[in-house]
Amino acid sequence: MMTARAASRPTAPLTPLLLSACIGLTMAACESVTVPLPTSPSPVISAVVSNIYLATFDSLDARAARLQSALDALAASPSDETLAAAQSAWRSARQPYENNEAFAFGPLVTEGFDPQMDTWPIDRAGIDALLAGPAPITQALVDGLDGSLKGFHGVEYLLFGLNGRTTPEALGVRERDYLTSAGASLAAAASRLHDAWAPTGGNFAGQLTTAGQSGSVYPSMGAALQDVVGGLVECTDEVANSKLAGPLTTGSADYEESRFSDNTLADLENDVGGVQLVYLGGVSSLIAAADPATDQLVRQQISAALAALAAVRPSFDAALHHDPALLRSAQQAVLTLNQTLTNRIVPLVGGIADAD
Amino acid sequence: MRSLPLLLAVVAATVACDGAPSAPTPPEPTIDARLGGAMTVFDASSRAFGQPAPTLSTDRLTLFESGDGVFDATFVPAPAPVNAGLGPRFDNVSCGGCHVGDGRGRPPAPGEAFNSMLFRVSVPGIDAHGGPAPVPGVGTQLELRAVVGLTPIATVAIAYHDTAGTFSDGTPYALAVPTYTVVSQAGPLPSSMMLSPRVAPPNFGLGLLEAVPEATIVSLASAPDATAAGVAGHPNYVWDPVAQGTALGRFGLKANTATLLVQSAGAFNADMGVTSSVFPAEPCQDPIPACAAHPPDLSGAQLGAVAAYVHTLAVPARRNIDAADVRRGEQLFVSAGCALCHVVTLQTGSVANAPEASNQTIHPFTDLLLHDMGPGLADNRPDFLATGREWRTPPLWGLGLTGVVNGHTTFLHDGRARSVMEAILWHGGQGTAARESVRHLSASDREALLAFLNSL
Repeated sequence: MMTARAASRPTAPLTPLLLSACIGLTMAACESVTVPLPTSPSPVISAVVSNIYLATFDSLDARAARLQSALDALAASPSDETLAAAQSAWRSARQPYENNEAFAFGPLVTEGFDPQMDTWPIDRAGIDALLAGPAPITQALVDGLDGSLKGFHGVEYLLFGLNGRTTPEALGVRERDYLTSAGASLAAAASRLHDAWAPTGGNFAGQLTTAGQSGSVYPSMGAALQDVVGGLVECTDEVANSKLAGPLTTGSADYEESRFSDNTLADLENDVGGVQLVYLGGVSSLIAAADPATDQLVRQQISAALAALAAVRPSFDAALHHDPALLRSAQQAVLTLNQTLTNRIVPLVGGIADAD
Repeated sequence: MRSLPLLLAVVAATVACDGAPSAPTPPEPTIDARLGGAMTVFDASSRAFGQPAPTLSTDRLTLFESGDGVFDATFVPAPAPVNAGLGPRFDNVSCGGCHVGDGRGRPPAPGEAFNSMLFRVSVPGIDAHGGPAPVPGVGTQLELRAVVGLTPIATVAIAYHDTAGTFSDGTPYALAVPTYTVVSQAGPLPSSMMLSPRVAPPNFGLGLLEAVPEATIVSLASAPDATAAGVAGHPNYVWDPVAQGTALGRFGLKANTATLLVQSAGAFNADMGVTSSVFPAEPCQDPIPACAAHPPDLSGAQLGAVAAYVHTLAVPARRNIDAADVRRGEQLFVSAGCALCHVVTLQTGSVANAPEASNQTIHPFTDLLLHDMGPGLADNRPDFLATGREWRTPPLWGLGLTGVVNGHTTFLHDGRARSVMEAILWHGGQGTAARESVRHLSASDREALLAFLNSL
């Protein structure tokens, strides 16, 4: 898996017991215990889960449904207006999905939602063959297809066209069938993902908020916190070392995440935006209690990473071909954040997990 | 380094500061938290199986990251600009697609596709190297997926029926017995075809298992305690296509692969239709261009990086090792005879190109040997020296984190056991005596045994 590297050796177990143990002992015995006791992770987990995670899946569910409607409208009446509206709805639905990459664990992974919804790269030749073939294109057919033949990027391929310049006239009957079927399949997956997390459904949220209690898969609240922070590490790693490194290393648009829509830059901003949401939504308070300087550093580096991405203009593809230095500087900023999360936040959290 | 001085400090301070006697210090656990020696990580999250060994050199960590990228890469059919080479027949599109979180696969839920479970097949007889004889026109794996335009070989349906049993204290239990129905889609399949369903096994800690000296594994086959109990296993010896000779089998559910390089290349080939220098032929025999000879889909560097990745994935540490029921469960694990095959402690040797795995004391809970597990678990499909009733003792490290990593707690080669206890109760053959010991435990002792196993 793309890894959030664990601290192999938590630097400082943070139990009250250990801290009190230092009283009366020589500093030499206790010098590794240098941080104050953090507040309990439990309220932080609850806040992040309800304010960020569940809110994101709500938004994704709603926006994927609006995308489905917009694709239906486009198929029913192809025009510049319905095409533009569907493209706009696609970009809108991308935002919560990319935010969710800052917490890509749980049902998204164990129930296989990610391959169904966001496989990259897509099998363009396969989609072409499907469109050229005789089989009726229905939602049931699309539901059963491999991930590389559907999902966000399958829809993107037809909705924007290979070079991002599709027209309403280019969408024949089978293309329109594909768009409505793939849109319905995607919206249904977003709805199931939402339900898998929702307290009224599969309640994966409850697995996190009751971590350490009987019935939760998490053996401790610290383990849940490791997942929350691990998501940030994993997301920044993927942005720097895959989503930016791929295009930069090859110089090829084929490695851009959303190459047909040229939405890649927004994708990456929403990835790091997801990291910001989770960090400021609760993790920060925990880190600030243990190590205020490190908390400040992470806040600064999140802002710097977002600023470096915002400086990429006019688009990812244009920058790749005309000013890759902008992308390199964004990559460096995200990498710097990733290293701070890996080398300073994960060990702190490991200490909390160990103490839990 | 992390815990010992601090734990001592706790004890000292509790006495010194409180001035009152502290609770009795529990004796040192026999099996410590670091199941993977220096290749242990302290992570109990969903990412617990996916961490690099903490002792990797910078170069090895770079290779790990590179291999991680290939392990998770989605392959698509050639020609394609990115990650070309999938299929034309395949079971999944990426390594991580089956080995979710580097962990354990499962049978599909009703209506779900087979995402982390596959079917090995063969016909009676052996191939040129003593391995399973391929099914004519199919090969040795029943790939359930195919590229657009090509019909999958078959569909498979699983049905379960319960069989009832009771613990000796009268508590009833039920085990789910699977039945597999294969429906051919692309032509008739021979009636003599043998079918071996297998879920993806966890893929961490494997570098340590590769570093266990061959002599150690061979000697376990004549270990006095296991021999006296009549449960000694035997090694598999298999064809190694890299060494072009016979070698001790270590990996795969029947120890049917000698090295991680061959295991990785074999999975790319059979599971994804991705060819490499080790397995240059597509695993399909259809008269179509995609099945014809072509340059390897995977570069040597990519294959090497993936092998290095699985070689350097760390083992998660135990949890709750000082809890009283866990300690009692550990004793029960040994007294029930489980440890005769699930060997607790092994010592790795010195491996030139894997310093992180060298000279480590590890607790994998396996002897890496084949054991007769009885007719109930038999796949009835021989694999080199493994008979149709034999399976390799699976490692138990990380067992208690299956739920958090994979979102399920199903076990055994085909995921039929719906809990750890069901997996124990399925033991037959050489596992019969241990199973019976467990079946005769009191309810509280059974809970203690499970508490121990879940601490792994």
